[in-house]
Amino acid sequence: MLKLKNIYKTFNVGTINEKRALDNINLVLNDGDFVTVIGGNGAGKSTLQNVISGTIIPDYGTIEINNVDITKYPEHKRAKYIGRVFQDPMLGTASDMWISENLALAMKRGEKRSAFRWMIDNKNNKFFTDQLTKLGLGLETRMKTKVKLLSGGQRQALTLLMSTLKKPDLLMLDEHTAALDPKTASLVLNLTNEIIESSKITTLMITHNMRDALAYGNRLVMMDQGKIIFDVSGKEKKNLTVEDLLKKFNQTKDAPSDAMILG
Amino acid sequence: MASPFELVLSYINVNSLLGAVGQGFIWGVMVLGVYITYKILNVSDLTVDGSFATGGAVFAVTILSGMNTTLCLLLAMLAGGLCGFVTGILHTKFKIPAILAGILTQLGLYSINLRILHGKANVSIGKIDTNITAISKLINKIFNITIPHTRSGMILGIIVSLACILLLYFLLGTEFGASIRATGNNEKMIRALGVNTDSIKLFGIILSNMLIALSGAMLVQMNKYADVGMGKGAIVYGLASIVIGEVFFRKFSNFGIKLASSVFGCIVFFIIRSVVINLGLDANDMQLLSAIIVVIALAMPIFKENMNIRKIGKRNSLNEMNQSKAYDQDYKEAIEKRNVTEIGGGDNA
Repeated sequence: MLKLKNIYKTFNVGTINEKRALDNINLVLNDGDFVTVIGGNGAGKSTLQNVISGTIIPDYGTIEINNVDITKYPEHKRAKYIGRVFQDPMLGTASDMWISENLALAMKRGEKRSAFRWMIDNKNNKFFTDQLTKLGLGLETRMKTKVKLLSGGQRQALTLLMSTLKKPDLLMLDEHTAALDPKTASLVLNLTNEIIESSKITTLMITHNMRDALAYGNRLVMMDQGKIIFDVSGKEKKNLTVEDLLKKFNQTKDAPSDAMILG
Repeated sequence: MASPFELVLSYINVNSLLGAVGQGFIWGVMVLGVYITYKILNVSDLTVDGSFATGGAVFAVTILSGMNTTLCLLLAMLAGGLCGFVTGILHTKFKIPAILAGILTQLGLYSINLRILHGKANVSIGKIDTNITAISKLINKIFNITIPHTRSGMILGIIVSLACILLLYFLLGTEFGASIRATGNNEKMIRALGVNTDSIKLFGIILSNMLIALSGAMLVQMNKYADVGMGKGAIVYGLASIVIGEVFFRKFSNFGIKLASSVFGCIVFFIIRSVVINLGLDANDMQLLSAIIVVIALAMPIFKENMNIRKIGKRNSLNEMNQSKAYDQDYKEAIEKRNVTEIGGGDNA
């Protein structure tokens, strides 16, 4: 369970560029929630993501995961609870290392890494192969391939697998299909949905795309000017349409970007 | 007239060749240190020139005070580790760019090394017993032959560099070692997987400088003196050795071979050096030569790219038919390449 309480974050305090990126954010994600977050440019989506992952420390407020206060934890210490997939497909994997090495690294997310134990141990091989087979990309036969030889989509699918290999308390997807072509994006999104549904992973998915935000997850959160302006779940969310969302957007000061309308 | 090749050969004799190989093994330990930061961690650490001399200075002073040789080596390594610690802290905690952090430490170390050597630029350890003389004695005892000091030095170099290669090979294959490699490869990713990349970098820079100082201490044993300027240019020697090693072992992906190739590169480097010196050039010219070697190696990718662009020009100037053929071929290759790597390429979409 993720609990954000009264989160504030202002950038460039005291200058002409002062910007309140997060303005009293209160958000509770229950176990098993799959929340999509949507909002225009500068709405605070990325800052929210960064505050949860620990790359930015908020000015005020507390963040709890499973009732542990992680507000002051550095990024690497939060990895114990959080699995992440980035927007840039190059960021989620170590390109000069094998697929199997990347998986072995991910297997130990948030754990102590021993200097007296081999990283590649054949015990996990079958598990890795099984998991890769589920992706349906034929990667299971290429365990000793360097990740840099994979395409963006394959790398993103691998990152997704890596972030969930050891079930995280929270999975954070930061526009993770934005850099992919439409066909690959939908493939990766379907994989995402499958993995989340089958393991009941609590997920926060930031997206630019309204259709994706509506099609996936059981809850939708809309942000504007650092505030959560709309939060629907269950049946209400299911009945929501792109038109409804657009109407909501038009009530805000920021007009939605083309990508959101066209997507 | 003799061909240039014969001319070069005539300047090589077994003695100077073996001497160069010995130097190569001893400096090779330093190259392994540079390999850790430059190749594995992807951090350019310029502490090298300073910490190499620190290792030598600490060894000379401690052994002159009558301590056990091996203990002196360990103390030298400890001192080197301390140098690395300073650079590492400057880089990771104070966020000073690695290159600048290394230069700052190196600059400061010059004064410190002079202090360690009691203000003298040059300290001789004379006929004091060292690991090298111990090896000479052992060989004398077993085989009843006397071998020159530099040969025993080579044996010490071989033993220590092989030990370091094995140690690094095994360390980097462990879970912890893998996180070191991943830190050099993709810092953001491995941090998201729970590794404190600052600590890893600090550890790597310390380990690197420990090996570098060990190398400096062994060189003092070999040369029988420590010099405050003995580390001058060491970083460039190290980079040149890595580059030369890569040329010879380009096709190997085994990690142990990659490590060994950098020591091999160091040996080749010192052989080139001895030839150059035998040709009548000064040892100081080696600094320029090694700088040129590194520059050529680093500029190679750009050079190749330019060659490729020129080839396109040639292709375009062919007659129309050939041109379209060449284009078709290129296109086919590109498609094939894509099908291998692209998601959904072929039938599995």
